[in-house]
Amino acid sequence: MATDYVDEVASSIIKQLKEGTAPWQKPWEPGERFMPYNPTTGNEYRGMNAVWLMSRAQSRGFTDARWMTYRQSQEQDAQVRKGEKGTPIQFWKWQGLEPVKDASGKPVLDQEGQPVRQMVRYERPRVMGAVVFNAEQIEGLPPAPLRPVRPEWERHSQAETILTNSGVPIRHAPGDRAFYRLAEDAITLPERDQFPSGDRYYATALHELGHATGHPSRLARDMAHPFGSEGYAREELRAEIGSLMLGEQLGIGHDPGQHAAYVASWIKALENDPREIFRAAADAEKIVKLVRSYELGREQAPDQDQAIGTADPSLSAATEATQQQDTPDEAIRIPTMIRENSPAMQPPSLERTYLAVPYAEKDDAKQLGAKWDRAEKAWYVPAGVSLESFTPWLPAKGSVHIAVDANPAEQFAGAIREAGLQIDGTPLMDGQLHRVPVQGDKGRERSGAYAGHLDGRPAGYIQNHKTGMRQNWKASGQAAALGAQDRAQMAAEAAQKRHDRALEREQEAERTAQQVDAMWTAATPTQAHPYLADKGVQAHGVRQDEAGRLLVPVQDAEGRMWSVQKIGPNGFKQFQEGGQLEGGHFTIGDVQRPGPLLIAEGFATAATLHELTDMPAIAAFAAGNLLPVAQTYRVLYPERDIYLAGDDDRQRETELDGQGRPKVNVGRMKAEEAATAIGAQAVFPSFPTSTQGTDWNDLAQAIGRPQAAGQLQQALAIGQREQAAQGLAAARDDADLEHDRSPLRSIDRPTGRFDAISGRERAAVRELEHDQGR
Amino acid sequence: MSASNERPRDASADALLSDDPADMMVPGVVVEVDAAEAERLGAFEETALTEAEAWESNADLGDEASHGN
Repeated sequence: MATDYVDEVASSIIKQLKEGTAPWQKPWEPGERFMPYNPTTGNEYRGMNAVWLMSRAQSRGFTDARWMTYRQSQEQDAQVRKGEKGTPIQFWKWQGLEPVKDASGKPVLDQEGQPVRQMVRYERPRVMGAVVFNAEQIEGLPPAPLRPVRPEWERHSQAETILTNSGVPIRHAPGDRAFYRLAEDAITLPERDQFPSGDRYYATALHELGHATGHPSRLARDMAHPFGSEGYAREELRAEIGSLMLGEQLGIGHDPGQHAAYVASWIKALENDPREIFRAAADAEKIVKLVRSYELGREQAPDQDQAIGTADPSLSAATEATQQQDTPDEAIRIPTMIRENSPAMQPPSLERTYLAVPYAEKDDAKQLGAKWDRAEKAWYVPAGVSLESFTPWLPAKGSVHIAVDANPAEQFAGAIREAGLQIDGTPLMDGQLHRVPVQGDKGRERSGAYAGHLDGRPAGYIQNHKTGMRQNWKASGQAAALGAQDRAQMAAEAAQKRHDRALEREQEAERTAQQVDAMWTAATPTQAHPYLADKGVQAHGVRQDEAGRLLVPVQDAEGRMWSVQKIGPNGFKQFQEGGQLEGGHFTIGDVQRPGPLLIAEGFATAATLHELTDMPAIAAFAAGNLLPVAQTYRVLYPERDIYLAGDDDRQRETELDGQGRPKVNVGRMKAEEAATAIGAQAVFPSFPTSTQGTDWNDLAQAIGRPQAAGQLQQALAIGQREQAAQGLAAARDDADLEHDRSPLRSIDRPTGRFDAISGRERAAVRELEHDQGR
Repeated sequence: MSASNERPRDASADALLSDDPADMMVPGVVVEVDAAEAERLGAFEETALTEAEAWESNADLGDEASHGN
């Protein structure tokens, strides 16, 4: 599936390259937050993950740069929407906790008899898949936090420091050419005042500096290719992705420059080897790392900061690492894990001395002259080269090196004994069940049993009838390709986890539903409340709790209450925690009565709409919930005129969001999306100049009810005409298709409790509404 | 249910360890590759999330095939 993954990622990028929308082909403004980041850790994604998530954001239309796991969203009291598909990313591990072995290869146990584990660095790195969701696939996340845009002088002074400390000479020449010349190791730029802005000047200069990092004295990339060649295009790809990452980090934005010359070569390179884009992104990371290290002062040798062997990307690590290399301190070095059968464990031969090089340090070893043995898959020092500088990687000296126990039969024996079973020597791993005595057995009693096999992926089963213990065992440290059965089992376990998670969510929703039922029963019907007075609307069946808060039920189309919106006397709104909100709504008026149906965001707006028109009105509570509610009622009433009476968040368009972009008019956008999806019309209030407000309630308060009613009737009449013009039948046929195509509903949702209900159930809805006195 | 003693361990210690890059995106699997292969695959260290968070999220791999969520 790695090939599937690599192929899928590469072909998505190829498609965008052809459209001119690959992440580094688009301009990004200074200060704009465009690189994907994780809101829990605050860190940006790296390497290919960053490029892939940007590419996905582009193809899915996400403008939010935040990506997080399902569990991380839950920890922020937010929830991935039902049916949303995550984006798979890679998680590489260059180090990990591994059991410590004694001289004879037995695991070292602590006082509690548990294996002692130690952080080791891997000679062979490990990779696993992870899945993240975009913030726009998650309900209930706070808006992206504001990131202060650093003043221009600060960004520019930082860039200037980098350029100066890099030691790469920059010449300015009139004209429009910016380039790096490898033979001279120098950058040529147009005059500074030829650039439209300082940010653009530095973006261009740093792009050329990115090329300069490929010089043999620095990262030594494959650079000697003539302009127009494929090799040249590959180098340009690395520099361009590096520019994108740097542009975000330094806040100077990204200017995609002239790409036409390279696009065809890029596409060809990715088509020839889809892994090329992964390598380019990894090289771009190295470019960024080296360029940023120039902020520290003097020119740094490439990748020395990796020598510390931690995942710490902070730049201060670079200086520590340098010191560490000057005076190797073995107490600080994390041991490197190698296999027992690694050639480095054999006595050195005359021709080759094999090394134990953690992956994090491979570039250092390579630069010092270590060679890669393709057959043995290990680094070695060729004969005639002094071993002195390779001391940290010589397994005989240096720090402890742990070789993983390669004998699964001994591992299994240990697990059997740990379980209290008594065996002599090694267990029989022939797939048969073997009965053996356990501690405490008398005479011929044999209360223990085990079965194990060595073929494929060694595994087994242990049972102690005396203690009631049963255990499935599998060999650790054994790397082997998965068989079809392994894959099926892993898929089943993952599906089970998702099922359990969904069940947990349903149970919580059920518990919350019961809580709100009790709250509702204990609350009292109200006619007067400061919020109602403030909004100038009637109660329409809402209640008031002991704390003086209005309770507005959040119901499904069958009338079942899944949550409540609590509104304080000051207008502060809060949903009952843990409740199911998607598709939940509150109806005002008799939805059964023939005639148009109005859907709005808030309770007060819906109340106003009903009071102005006597038409049934539905509060969907949030802009993002308009679509599921609209879909529910479209299925219930395929022939009915439905209007999305949206909020016009017009002032938002004049403000910047936490990512430095103009805010989206969410109310208008979501109402229009929902209207289009179900073949309905959206209607918005139109405010007199210099009047505040966003919704129909604000309008009624601003210009008075009679005038607001007039405007609403007029908007509905226009909506009706437009609907007729579009052709009702056609629009409704399309509605089902739109449902599937909508970006919010790219995958069919499993039938949920808020999904459309059958005709048979409509009577029940009516009954419930009568019960609620509406 | 297998007996298990909770002990501090690597987040992905229970993973099946594979040496075949083709197993990379299978849930519950960690693939070990040699240095040359890692370089060919553009290996990089991810710091946007922890290993434990990454490991926990892999139940969402292959979600296309199920109706669990």
